[in-house]
Formats: sequence, C-alpha cells, structure tokens
Amino acid sequence: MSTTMETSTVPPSATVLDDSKFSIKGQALEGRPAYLDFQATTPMDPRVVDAMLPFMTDNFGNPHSRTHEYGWLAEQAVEQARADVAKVIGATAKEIVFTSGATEANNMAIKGVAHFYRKRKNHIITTQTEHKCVLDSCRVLESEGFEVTYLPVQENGLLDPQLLKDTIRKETSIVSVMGVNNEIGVVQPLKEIGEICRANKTFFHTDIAQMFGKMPINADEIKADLMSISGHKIYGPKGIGALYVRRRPRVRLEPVINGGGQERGLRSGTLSPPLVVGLGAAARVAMEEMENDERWVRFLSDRLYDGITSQLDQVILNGDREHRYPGNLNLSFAYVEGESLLMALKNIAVSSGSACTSASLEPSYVLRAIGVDEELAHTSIRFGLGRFTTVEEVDMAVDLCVKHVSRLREMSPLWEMVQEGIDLKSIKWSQDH
Amino acid sequence: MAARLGSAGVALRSAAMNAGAVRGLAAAATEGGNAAEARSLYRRFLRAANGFGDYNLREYTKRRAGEEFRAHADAPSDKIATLLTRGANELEVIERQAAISKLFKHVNSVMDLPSKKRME
Repeated sequence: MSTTMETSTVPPSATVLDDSKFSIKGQALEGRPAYLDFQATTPMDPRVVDAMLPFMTDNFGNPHSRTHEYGWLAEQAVEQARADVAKVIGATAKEIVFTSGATEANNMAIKGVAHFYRKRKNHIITTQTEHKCVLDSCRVLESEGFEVTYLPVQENGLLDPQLLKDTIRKETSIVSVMGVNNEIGVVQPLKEIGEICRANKTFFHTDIAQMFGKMPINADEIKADLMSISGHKIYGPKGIGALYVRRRPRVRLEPVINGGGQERGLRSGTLSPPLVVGLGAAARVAMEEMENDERWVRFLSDRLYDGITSQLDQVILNGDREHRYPGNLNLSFAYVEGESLLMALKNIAVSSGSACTSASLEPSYVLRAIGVDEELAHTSIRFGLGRFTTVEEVDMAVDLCVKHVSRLREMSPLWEMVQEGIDLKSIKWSQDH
Repeated sequence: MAARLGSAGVALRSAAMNAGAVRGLAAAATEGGNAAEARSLYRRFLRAANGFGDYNLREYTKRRAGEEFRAHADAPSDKIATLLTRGANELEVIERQAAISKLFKHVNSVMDLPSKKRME
C-alpha cells in the first residue's frame, strides 16, 4: 500500500522508466529482457488496441442503456464481440457470459453448478494439477460440506480417463479438468473426459485460458458444458474473460455476483465495452492467425528445445512430449541451482513456474504432482513462446542457457561426482547416530 | 488509394499479408498495372513496421508482411483488388498504432543492442 502513496507524490514522469537504462539487483542493463513468458501474460496486439481505443474515448456509452444512441452503440459492439468469442469455440453468442477473467469464470462455473444442484448432488471431481483458482474454489466448497476428489495425473501430466470413469458417480455434479496446463503445457484428453461426463449426466467444466485461440477447440466436439476463457492470454486486455455456458442441454448456475441482472442474471455489473471489444478483437485475430501462430510457435519451440538439448546433457522436458501446446516448454536442468540460473538469465524474462508460485521458494505443486524429483523441480524453467517471439530471441535464449548452465555445473561438486559415475542417490549425506 | 484507406480496419494480418504478397501480387498484377501498387503497399508496410518503438511488434509486422505477400504471389488477377484493399485497411491500423506508440516513452529491448552485449 505504501507504494501507491509514494507514486502519488512523485511527478508522473519520474515513475516512467528511464528509456535507456534500468537496473536489476544493482546491475545496470541497457535494455529490457526478451519476453519469454507468454503463459503469464501476452502483450496486446496492435489490432486489439486499435479496436479498443474508440471505446475509451468517443464511444463511452453504457451498453445497458436502452434509451439512447450511446447505449445502443456500445451494446452493438459488445454483442459483436460476444459473437466473435463464441465463434472460436463453435458456440452461439448467447452461451457467452463476460467475466473479469478466467479466475472469475472458474469460480462462477464450479461454485455456481455446485450450489445450484447441491440438493441432489454434492460431489465434485478435479485434478491435482489444476490452476490455483480451481483448487481454491474446491477447497471453499469442501468447507461448505461438499465432497471433492482431486484426481492424480500420470507422470506425463495427463489424466487417465479410466480413473475418472472409476471415480465418477451419481452424486457428481461437476468435473473440472483444464485444457492446456499453464505450467507444463500438456493438453488433457478433453474429448474422452467429455464423453465420460455426458454418459454419467455430469457437467464438464474446462479451463481453456491457455488453449483458447491458440489451438482448435470446439465445445460440441469435446462435449464441454462450461469453459473458461481469458483475454490477456491471447494478446487481449487484462481484466476481461468469459465463461461459456451450454444452453442445450441447459446448464444452470447460481450466480456468484448479484445485482442488476446483466448477462442474463448470471453476472451482474456494467460491462466494460473497451475490454469486451478488446477480447472480441483478440478472438477474431486469433481465429485469423491461429494457423500461422501455431506454425511459428512450433518452429520456435523445436528450435529452442533442439538448441538446448543438443548442447547440454541432462535436460528434462516436463510433461508429455506429444500432447502439448508447443509454446510452453518446461525444462529441468539437472545439477544446477534454479535460482542461480534464473538470476544469470537476466536478459530473458522467463519463469520458474506460474506467476502465482514463482515468488515462493516452494517447488511447483504441478511438478510435484507429476512426480518430478524435488531437486529437478527446483531447477525447472518455463519458456513461453508466442506470436511476437523472434528467432533471434530464441537463439539468444539457447546461447544464454548453454553458457550459464555449463558454468554453474562446472562449479557444482554434484555435477563433478555425476561425471565420475557416482550415483548421488547412493550417498549417505549424514552419519547415522 | 486514399478512399481505400478510409474503410474500416480489418486485421493487421492481411496488411501484413499483403506485404508478403508483394512479389506475387507484383508478378500477377503486371498486366493490370497493379504491380506498382502492390510494391508500394509492401514498402509502406515495412516503413510502418519500423515506426513501432517495440522490437517485437516491429519484427512481427515485417515477418507477417513478408509471409502474406509471398503467400499471394500467385494470386489470380481477379483477387488482387480485394487483397490490395484488405492490405490497405490493415496498413491503416499499423500506421495509426505505430504513430500512437511514438507518443509514449519507450524502453529498448536487449534485442536492440549489439549481439555481444546481449550475452553478458
């Protein structure tokens, strides 16, 4: 809180970074690092900004105003955006509810379904590698008396559909399994999961924040009943997302936010036309660019992975090799101290996991859930590639990784022992008492 | 051209795309006299792309422009007018956004530095 106080007393120009130099940990740099963290967020596409700007200036109307042109104009733009979002997932505009982001959409879907059907059904199924907001919503429901099953995933990060089949029961109201994992990038077998849910008359919710607009996905094909979407993962604005709510067969929800009855009563509150238009534009551009983006990201991903693994031994790709979104490469560099490596890689902006856990020294719960050794989990780095990543950035990342991993390993006594053929697991590090 | 520029903004993509189509369009349009227009459009794309302060937007726009103009190298002559119009619309978006980006202070990327500096 004190920071907001400070910035308000400092002249605005001083809060802008000096255009040539800034420092990280006291070391002067002359440029900001190359951005390789596209899972955390993405920069806005200029086409998106261009669509949004008029709604921050001239077209300021409230889309819920029914009595004048200002309102009609805003409403028209909002409805066009709704249709554009729906088109990406093969849905109809009426099935899209705008929210503040995927976190709200996840909360709304899980709590909404659980609460609405609580009299008949009190069981929820999810997986251990879901996003924090899904897991936390489930925890809250547990405290309200619901029973939640957190299914383990296999070592490749994928859910075994048979396990779901064995776990699902008459009282299960909702199954929530994400599309693309935000930390390791694996794609869950959504089609199989959807079929199991439909056959058991259970609603299927999937968080596709990391998948929407990047990989082809169709609500009917995977038989999803609810899907969460985020704007800022697809080169759109932050603060906007959407929930797909199936109309046939109808899914009923108890709203989390009550009020004026906007969004068919499911999510009250005035919509923000600039943000909604931004999400719509991002969805439209994503549709147009999907093929191109996919080809580019796959090319860069292969280049990064091949570049690193051809020059370094003992680099492990976390998560399944085949079923993945190529723009997310989570690599563990064995026998290197993760924090030292991150510090050394100051010219690339990468993450040691998801943004919510990277501040803590705890290894990621996702990596632990797929059975990654604690030492390896500590040395994992997530490389996020996207539409605006360049070949030069990837080549620099490869060179930097090779340089610093080799340097850190040279200093490591563990690495030396491994080179001599000593099995580290066999060593007794402390004396028995 | 001016009239075409006036129509609503489509996606940068076709604009970019038109850049890519440059050669193709140029070739295909030789008889129609559109070759010069295609070439000029492509050049304007590159110029507009260079207007972005941001390294990534600059490089992306140039890359997509090249790809799209190449992809439409063999476009049938009856499609060329449509492609050119689409390109012009997208160019308008890029030019506008590049102009806006110049109004704000901007931080260079390490990629703007000489390659030796990046490896430090």
